[in-house]
Amino acid sequence: MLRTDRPGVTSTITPPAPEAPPARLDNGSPSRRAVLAATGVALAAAACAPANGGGAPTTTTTPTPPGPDPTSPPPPAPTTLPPTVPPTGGEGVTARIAIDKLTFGPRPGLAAAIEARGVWGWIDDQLDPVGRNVAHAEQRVSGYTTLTNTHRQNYDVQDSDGGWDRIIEELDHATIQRAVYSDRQLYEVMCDFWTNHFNTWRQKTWMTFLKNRSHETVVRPNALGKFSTMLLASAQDTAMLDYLDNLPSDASQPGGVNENYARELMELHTLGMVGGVQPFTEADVRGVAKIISGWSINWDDNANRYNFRFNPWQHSRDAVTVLGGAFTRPARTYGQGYDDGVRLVNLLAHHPTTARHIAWKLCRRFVSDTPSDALVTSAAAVFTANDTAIAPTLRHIFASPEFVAGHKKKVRRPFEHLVGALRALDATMPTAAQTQTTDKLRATLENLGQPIFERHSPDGYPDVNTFWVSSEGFLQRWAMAGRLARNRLTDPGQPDAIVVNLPALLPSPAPATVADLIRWVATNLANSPINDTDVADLCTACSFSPTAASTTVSGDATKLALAVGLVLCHPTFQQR
Amino acid sequence: MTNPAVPSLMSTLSRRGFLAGSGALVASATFGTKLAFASPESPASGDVIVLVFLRGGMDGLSMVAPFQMPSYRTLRPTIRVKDASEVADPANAGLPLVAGGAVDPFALSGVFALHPGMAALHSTAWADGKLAVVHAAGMPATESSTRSHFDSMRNWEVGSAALGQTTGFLNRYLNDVGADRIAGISGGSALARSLAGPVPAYSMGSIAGFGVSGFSNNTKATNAITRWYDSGTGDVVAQVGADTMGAVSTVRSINWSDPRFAVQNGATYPGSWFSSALREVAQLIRANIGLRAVCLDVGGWDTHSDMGAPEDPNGYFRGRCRELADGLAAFYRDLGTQMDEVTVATISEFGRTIDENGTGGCDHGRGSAMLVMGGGIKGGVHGPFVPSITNGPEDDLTVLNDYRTVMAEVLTVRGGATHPGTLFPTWTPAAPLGVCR
Repeated sequence: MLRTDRPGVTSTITPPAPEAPPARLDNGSPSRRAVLAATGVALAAAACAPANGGGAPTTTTTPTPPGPDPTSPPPPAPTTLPPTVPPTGGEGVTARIAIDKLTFGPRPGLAAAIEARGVWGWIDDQLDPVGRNVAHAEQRVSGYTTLTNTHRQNYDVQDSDGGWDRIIEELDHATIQRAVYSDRQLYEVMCDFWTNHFNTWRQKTWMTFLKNRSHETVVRPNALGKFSTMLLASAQDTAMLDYLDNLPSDASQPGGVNENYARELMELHTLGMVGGVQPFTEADVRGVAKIISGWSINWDDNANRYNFRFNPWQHSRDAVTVLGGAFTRPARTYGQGYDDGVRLVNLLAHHPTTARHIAWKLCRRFVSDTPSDALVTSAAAVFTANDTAIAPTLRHIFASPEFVAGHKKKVRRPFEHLVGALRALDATMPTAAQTQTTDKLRATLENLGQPIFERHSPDGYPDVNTFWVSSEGFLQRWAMAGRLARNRLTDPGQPDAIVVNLPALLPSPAPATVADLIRWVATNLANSPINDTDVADLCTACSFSPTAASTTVSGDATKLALAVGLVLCHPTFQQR
Repeated sequence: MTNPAVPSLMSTLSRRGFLAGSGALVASATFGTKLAFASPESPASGDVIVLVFLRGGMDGLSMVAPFQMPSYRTLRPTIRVKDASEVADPANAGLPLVAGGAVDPFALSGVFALHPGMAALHSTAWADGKLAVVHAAGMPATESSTRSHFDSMRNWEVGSAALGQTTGFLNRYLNDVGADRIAGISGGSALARSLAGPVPAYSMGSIAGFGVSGFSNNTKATNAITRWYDSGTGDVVAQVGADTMGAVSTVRSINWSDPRFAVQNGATYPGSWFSSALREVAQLIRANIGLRAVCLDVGGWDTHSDMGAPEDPNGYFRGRCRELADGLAAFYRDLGTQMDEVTVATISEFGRTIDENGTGGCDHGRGSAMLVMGGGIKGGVHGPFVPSITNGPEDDLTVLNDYRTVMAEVLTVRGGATHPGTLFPTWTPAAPLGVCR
């Protein structure tokens, strides 16, 4: 598994090393290349290239993400489409519930758009794997070349002056911007879900740059598509294989085959745990590790360097039978065996235990921490009947009465809470990736306890309320709300700040009284109505007169920011 | 390979006094009222227990090495701890754990040496006879022999492999000793799972930052939030919010600049966040807020590769040991005679394989070493150990000492708990190892 600040994996393979990449100085520290050369990192060593026999692929073509062309403007609003009839069981879903449960949070105009489209018309638009009727936000990140570069190109970026920072910040800022500004909210929520499901920690090894292309090829093309496609993409993702130590896994070496990826492939990505017990044996782990040995990386000094490659010299050619005989293959000759791995990954993707595991995780994300066994079972059946397609599985979950009953039963995790606050206050932020805004957002997420893309363990960030509800967690998120509402999340005196314009959000005509104003903010900006007692308490605490004209608060920037910031601290806004 | 000189980006991120813990939550049904401000003079009736969780699977055979055993020497050719005759600079040799001076005789005297990175503890707490070691410690195989990080951490923190166990063992401990006020704290933004349960416990990033902030008028904001978060509604968000505001009120009413909170006895805390956290723990102990249990995390122990030779001052594992030992030694010195009311214990979710692998490290194993430090602790290496370590079928150090036997002794003899069976419901009670005086 992983650890922080650890040196790279070494191997006993010592073939001729390739030409060393140019040395780079990083803020005056020793060149990474020099350090790597001194310790003989495996990755350079594994670049010896014996004959590639037997039809194994040398690279994967990086698939183009389907859907809207990122350089084109977003499509027009879908005003002429007929609303969809609610499925049986889904009649109780209101716009308020849809916003809380299927998006990162309310945004001005969203509720009206949902009402106009009809709730289920809007949901089906959101479920469309290519988002035909919904605007994306890709034009905001069109300048982020590390997202569209090849791995080789991103290596060059990371190796350049300040390049490591750019690798990190482009991915982080793109992720936040997409979550805040894309109208394909359910899709972005699912990207967050799968990023955690297939978690890798980009700083475990020096190949941080792999994560950028990884994110664009594993998660983003498949988040509402087929799980089986995404699983295979993940199994051939060099970021994943590097993170879980499969790159140097080598059957011909004394250290032998590495079991880390094989274990997590089953325990975390597919079969999961059943009743606290592994539904696979240690012998299965060893067998799967043999099948996956050789699923590695291309070290050739060409444009495909750092892409996935099946390296036959690393692959175990033993006969393998695992999972109670569900998978078996005979002994293979040199160069064979790649297809066995594809077959195994597909078997795991389609395994009924995997269907239950994925269904359960989806129910935990969208319904509550304790979904019923009946719902999990039925969702798993839909998953299997649709050849592991994610969208129909979600639709089934959303159409259950349990989904409606689960409203406000999940606590917003810090990333969701921050994005939700930015959306609720219609914050604007620069599209440039390396500004004080990026730094501040990253620092804020670290303080909140969910640093973006910095989960060290492969299980991803926990999706259970108990993990996120604690004193420090609350104090931090309340502080964030207070700062954001008064334009202090970033430094307003510096360029590239996050800007919140509260007066622009208020309705016209204005609410009559201060109490009316607070109620309006809670209901319409936060999508979380608060009761009269709590409105009165806020007025008392802030020395507002509840019956005075609302302009006594809305006309005073300090008072308005205090009131709005506090509304985002109310218990009901912590929940979705 | 990550470059230890991290790029500028990381250094711009603020680090607070403690840092990330892991873990779960607290939900309070029975302790529903807002915290009353209790007299700061009322003493606790047992030690403050400081649980340090070494995350990743700490290689006990490196930290506490059976350095003379022939099998140890052959199974760990490059990463074994060397004796003084093998290295030029004595600072790079293992530090023998032998009886003598303040350390009463013990059966395993001379068998082990501490990793040279542990020097700060060897010359202080060990020399004073206040550092105990229990080796081959872990969760017994009859209950669970998992080598999964997540599962094992969870098992250790709830004190049982049983699925139905959802509270942390330290929360059950707080319940046993009748804790009140701010009885349990874990460092970081999330509450440690070992403290999760019905008794209110708190995550804390730093003393200075523990309060409502960010608003133009934090007093008004505090007022509003305190009114909104109502205990007794059964809603966990409201309850935790209410407990939080009670704890904030207590912490913010203390004058932390008072001289009694200054570092004492000439102790010097090194620069790591772990040390900063310990320094604040010392202050929190002195504040008499009812503190009974503290959880801190130290990461980076999952040493699958490149641990480095122990005699190399720049070796990776040596650096981990140094951070741990230097921090604990500073804490020990700072507290001085107050260490008579504090017990520190280190645990880790498992140890590592006996023989080193092909990449200069070790893979997930089973038994590891626990450290226990405090004024009421009996120095020495306690509990059984094998006469010679050998590779078993899974290449692990068999667990000979249930870690809960150690914790039960500490929590009862030092902590004042009276129902160890409730603390560890699936533990098979065993005689204490004599870690406590």
